[in-house]
Amino acid sequence: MKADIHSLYEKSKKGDLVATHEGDINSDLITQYLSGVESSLSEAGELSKIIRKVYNILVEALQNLFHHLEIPPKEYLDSVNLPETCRYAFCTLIKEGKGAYKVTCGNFVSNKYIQFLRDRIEQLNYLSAAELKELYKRILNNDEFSSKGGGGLGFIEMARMSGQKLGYDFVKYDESYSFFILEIRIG
Amino acid sequence: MDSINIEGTPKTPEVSFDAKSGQIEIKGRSIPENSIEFYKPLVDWLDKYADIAQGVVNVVIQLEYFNTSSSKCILDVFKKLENIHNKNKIDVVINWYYEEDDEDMLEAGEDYQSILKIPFKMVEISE
Repeated sequence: MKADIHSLYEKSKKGDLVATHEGDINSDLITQYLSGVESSLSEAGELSKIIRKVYNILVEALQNLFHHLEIPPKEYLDSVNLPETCRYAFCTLIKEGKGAYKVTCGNFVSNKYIQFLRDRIEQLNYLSAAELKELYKRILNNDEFSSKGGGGLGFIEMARMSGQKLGYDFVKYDESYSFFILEIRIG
Repeated sequence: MDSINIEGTPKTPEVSFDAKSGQIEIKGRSIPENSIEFYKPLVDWLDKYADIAQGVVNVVIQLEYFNTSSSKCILDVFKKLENIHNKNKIDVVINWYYEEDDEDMLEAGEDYQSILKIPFKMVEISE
């Protein structure tokens, strides 16, 4: 039996839900999501420095999905009645306590990229705050952009802003795809 | 040389580059998905400006948010300004604004300052 992706999404929503999206990821959706979160947190009286951290992490998390997610296998999209062009992903924001939040993103990845992603996240989780800063500055100054327009800094920025280890999991879907879950904590 | 005036949007900053006065300003939010597309005309403008710049170039960077792909483009802008400073032997000052409780924005300015060899002035804004 194939992994139940929707249940992973439902699980990510458990708790004090601030914002959520499941489905296609595009530029307008990102704008809308960010503005919704900013208003909600501001109306709830959250400290501006916490709002900024949450916002910065969400910008990187959502744009990471925008640039890098893989179109899900057709079989999955058919099973949930989504069009075959749907760039399916989810992103939830949960309030975990006073000034504490959790961002969870989920998207399909090709199994051949799992090792690369795992190594990258493990490397960042192993580094101290000072080492993350040095790595950030080195990559900032390397003049390289990926073919997808990313600067290779998104994960480092999320790790720096969070100050905590990035959580992750790969749930196997079939021989070609897995579902990648990324968790970033704030506060 | 024409100046550049671009209004801000929820994802792109307000830009004002004035060759006559030497006032260069980027303000607001810089979080576009495609930052290269937004910044390329600005970087190209600075290349041309290098041929005529004189006096003092005063740069104001007052950003509320910027994403990591903008961060590389902003460094490109700074490198062009550094080139103007070196080539034309004129003063170029980067005024980096940050809100008083925004340590991350101050740190971002200091990161740039440590990479570049032009004067930075960190300017705190009270909320």
